[in-house]
Amino acid sequence: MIHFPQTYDEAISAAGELHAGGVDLQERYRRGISAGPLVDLRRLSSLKTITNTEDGSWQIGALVPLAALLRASFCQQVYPGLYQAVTHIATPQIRNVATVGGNLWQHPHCWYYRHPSFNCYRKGGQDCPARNGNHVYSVCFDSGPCIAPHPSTLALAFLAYDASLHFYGEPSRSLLEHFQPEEQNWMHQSPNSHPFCIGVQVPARRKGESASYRRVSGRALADWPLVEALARVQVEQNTIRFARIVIGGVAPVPLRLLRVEEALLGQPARREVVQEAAQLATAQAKPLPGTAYKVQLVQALVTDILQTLLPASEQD
Amino acid sequence: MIDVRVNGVAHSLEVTPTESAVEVLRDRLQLSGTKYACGSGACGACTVLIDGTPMVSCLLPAHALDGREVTTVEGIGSELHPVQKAFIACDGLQCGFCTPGYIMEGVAFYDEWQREHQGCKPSKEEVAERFSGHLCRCGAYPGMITAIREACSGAYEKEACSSPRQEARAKVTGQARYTVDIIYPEQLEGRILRSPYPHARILHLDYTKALALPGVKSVVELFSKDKTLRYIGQEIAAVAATTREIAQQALKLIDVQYEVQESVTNSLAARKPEAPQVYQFPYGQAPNAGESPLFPSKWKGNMRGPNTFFARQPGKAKRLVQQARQQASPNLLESTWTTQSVSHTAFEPHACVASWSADKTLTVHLSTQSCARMAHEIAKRWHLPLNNVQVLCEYIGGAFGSKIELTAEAIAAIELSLKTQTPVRVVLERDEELAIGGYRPAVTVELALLTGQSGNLEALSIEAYGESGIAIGSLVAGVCQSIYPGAPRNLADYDIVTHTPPGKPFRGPGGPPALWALEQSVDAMACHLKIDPLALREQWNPAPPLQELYSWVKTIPAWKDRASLQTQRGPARRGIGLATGSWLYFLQPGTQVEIKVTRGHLKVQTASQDMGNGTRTMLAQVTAQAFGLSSDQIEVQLGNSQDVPGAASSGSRTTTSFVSAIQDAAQQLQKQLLQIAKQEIHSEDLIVVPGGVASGDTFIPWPEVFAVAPDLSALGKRQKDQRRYQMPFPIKGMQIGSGSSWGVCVSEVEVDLRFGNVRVLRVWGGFAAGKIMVPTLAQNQAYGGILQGIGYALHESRQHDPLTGVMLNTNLTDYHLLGMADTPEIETYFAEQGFEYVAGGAIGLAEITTLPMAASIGNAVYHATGWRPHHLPLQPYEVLAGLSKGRL
Repeated sequence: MIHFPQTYDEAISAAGELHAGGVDLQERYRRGISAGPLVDLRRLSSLKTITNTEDGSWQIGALVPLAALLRASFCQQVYPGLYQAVTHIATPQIRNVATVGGNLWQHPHCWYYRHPSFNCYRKGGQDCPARNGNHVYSVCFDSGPCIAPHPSTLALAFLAYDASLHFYGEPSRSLLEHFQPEEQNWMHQSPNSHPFCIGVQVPARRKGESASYRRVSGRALADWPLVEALARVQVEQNTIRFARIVIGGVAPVPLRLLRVEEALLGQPARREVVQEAAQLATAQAKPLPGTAYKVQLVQALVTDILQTLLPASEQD
Repeated sequence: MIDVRVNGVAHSLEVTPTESAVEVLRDRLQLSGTKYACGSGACGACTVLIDGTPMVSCLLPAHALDGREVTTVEGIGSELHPVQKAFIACDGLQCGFCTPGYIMEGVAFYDEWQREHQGCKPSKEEVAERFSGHLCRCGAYPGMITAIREACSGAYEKEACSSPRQEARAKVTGQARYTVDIIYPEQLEGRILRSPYPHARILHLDYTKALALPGVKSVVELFSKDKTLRYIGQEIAAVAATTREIAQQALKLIDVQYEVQESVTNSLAARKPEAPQVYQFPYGQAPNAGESPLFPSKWKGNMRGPNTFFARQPGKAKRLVQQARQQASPNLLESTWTTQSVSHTAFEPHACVASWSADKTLTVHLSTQSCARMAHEIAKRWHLPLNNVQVLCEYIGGAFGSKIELTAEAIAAIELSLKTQTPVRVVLERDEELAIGGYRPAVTVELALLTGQSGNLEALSIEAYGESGIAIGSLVAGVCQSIYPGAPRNLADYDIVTHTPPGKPFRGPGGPPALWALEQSVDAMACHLKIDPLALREQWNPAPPLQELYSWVKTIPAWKDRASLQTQRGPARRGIGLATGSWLYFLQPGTQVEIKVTRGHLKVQTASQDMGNGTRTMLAQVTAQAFGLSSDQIEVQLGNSQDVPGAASSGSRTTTSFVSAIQDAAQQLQKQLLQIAKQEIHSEDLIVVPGGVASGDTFIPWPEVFAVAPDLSALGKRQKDQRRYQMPFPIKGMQIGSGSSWGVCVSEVEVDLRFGNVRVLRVWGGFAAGKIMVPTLAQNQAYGGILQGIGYALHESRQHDPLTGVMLNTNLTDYHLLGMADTPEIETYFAEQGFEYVAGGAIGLAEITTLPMAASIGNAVYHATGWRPHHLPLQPYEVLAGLSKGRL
């Protein structure tokens, strides 16, 4: 059963899992871990638009393909960190099909969740087979019960850019609110009942900010991140005036490192400052037996990425 | 209902909500050039252009094609595209299964490049980034990178291009038909029901509900007589239905009652005395995980062995090691080395299409490494005269050792076809292929190396424990028999059986784990003795082909200058490592080949096959050389079991088995042709000369003789070598000849101390396997061996749930194959001298090219960091843990 709603109202009243590009969904259905009716949003052409608003922010429709986002010239110019992050998502062919909304709401990439032989919390089960199993790719900020890292690099990037999610029939909320620990239950809802996200609004960039994204993975390209990070820093007269740093691949949601940000604010843009602040990145880490290495990686990655944003005189 | 234009033709199709575009293209429109390989968007074999944009059709819902224009490889046009020509000319392919996907991406990339950068050449990095959604299991990346760069620069705009590979055109145009592409009218689709338990007995099986499902035509049982299931994924039954989806649904309707039994799925637990025993006396028919014959051996619980067939003075070796240990000799080096299991996962999965005729003849399309032997086995199993069985495999999408035996997909297809009297196709899905399609077993090696005062090798002791699941025949210690001859050596191989799928021979079975241990130990000993590692190896084995390879290594600037890397600072550290390997020389003495003159040209026929390694091209070129013709004048027919018995494609034996047989056939045929020419021009003075026959000023080229000749044929046989074979008689048609092949790999790596990444930057691979018959293809094959070796060392690993033994990474997103961006610069060198005693002058190359790679990377990592890795693969978490513990 598949619906092709023509209006937003039809879309929210139709029963079924929302279908955007269908990349993640097609694989889940093939493996038999998802089933049921589909609500294909393709006819809602207003979801495919990108608009610039008067305050300088950009609104990106939920059905905009990732490749279209990369092609839009504003992306690289205004949000270089977002641009770099998107170039790391999946592969060029998949980015031609996969959409902004689909990427944000893709299901976790846990191999237990995706294996038809296992049950788990997310599939309505009573435990997490990964916790006592082979969880080398799981979180190192364990907040239970599920230990799968959030799969969306785009969510990490939007969080770092203080973006907001727009819903139909519900108030907008910032990514930061969206990923508050108490809000994390959204991940455990039935896939058919999550809110209908129609787009993302990204505020204007700050003057003079610089940004960088980096991930650590096994292969050079086309690999899921073991850990990933996006940082934005604004330095004025050699003083750090603004900092955003978000890490991914390590927790059920992308994590903004507020304590690192605080430690940087108002400080001189120097290597020692960055190195000391980066120490705070893993203060709240709670690794599993198999993911302690990720704590080490977060430390190294946060230090590395912040250093690349320092003035040239402070670099190696 | 969707309306879609495919290659310019309009279609209106009824599609289901979850059907994918690739199914519609392949099965409904029968455009089989588009391949289905991974089903998770990782490999790109199914790439097509949608309104000109490349997309993976396995993750594209069929209904998304509505109103779109689709271009598949068949739609590129009758003239070759510059990208296709470049792939042909640069030999950017092997088995060809992933090729159409690369071509489609290439066509789109080429068009964009022409618009934006005409006249320039894209960098290797730009190409790797653009093709990051494509994978090639054979490892033909270097040729592809060159092909794409050259095509984009405009080098292939002109008409013709030369083709080093005989069937390249068929592969780049999608015309090559593999087993998975075979569709008969009315053909049914089969799916297999598999055991959910590692150990269980089937108490009761009821498939009436499955049979009642509309579309289901038949169900057959596949379990063995003892009704015991010994691993998750073992075959229970198979269903044939009108569609794959219905067959899949029907599997759920088969009611099976199991008596679940105690199981053991990891080797540590299996070694404990209280562990449940996988096999009871008389130990049944455990399958062979290797490619050497099985020798009788002792069993103790789940342990079988030792097999010490290749040991020499093992008692003395053990005693010397024991004494040195007691005396705490500094020249004794002892260590334990472990390697992971890795899946073959050929891109064409195990597949079979079987069709019975009314007169009890059977046609079997099978993706196999030996159509000739499969025909024998099928005839035996179904009690048919051999003449009534035809096994066909014109093209094979890779195998690497996993397609040697008659396995369940074939048995299911043949049985289902027999019951339904309709053709039946059974194709494994990627998760089945990864989990039970075959794997290189994990191994634990305990190795001791003892040297004397002058650095001479005094004793070698290797005890290896292979973990081949329910299979046996691990040969790891044994493959170290010839690499450093002379000194006493204790070589003991054990199998540890568990309730897990059977391991299968994988490109040089046992070799990479053996060398991972041995060649790092030799390196460590050289460091200890403060001797150059190359000099130590030269001292330990002065075999001339090996010495030639070492002389070549000494000319490599990076090797000569490696001491300059001692002073590195910063987080990225480079290192250079070297490892040596040797491999047995296998041959098939009964190999035959037939050369015919038919319709005015030469045709070579033999019941052999080409997995992508180049057998077809080798047959054409050796025939062409014998006649002084060019290889495009030769037609080659492979993949038909009813032709004269040819070599199996395993044990690196095809080339060495064929060369002298072709030369033999050519000589006989030339005699017949000479007689015809003599009669034709009434001259008794004619003699055979290169390219034809001649007498005085008269020269008649062969094609003119063929034109007047009736249909002729000559049968050639593999000639005997001038040295006695190591194994005096053949077993299962295979024999071991005198001498061995050699390989030396030098790797340059960069280790990131912060993130634990190991990248291989450059590789130099030198190999000695006698005469190189087709240099371009030999080089490509060496690239593939080297790249598979890097994947083994750095990325690939079967991951299991510790509690249940279920394999977790059963897709190509989580099972990490090496990508184009991980491909280093590679230089190859072939030492051809020293094999003149071999009939035809060539021995096998396939396996030796992959064997020393992992060990050379281990040595390079040590050189870069001072930490010696003992466990594979070198994933970032292994490297980080190792660096923090073990830095010197």
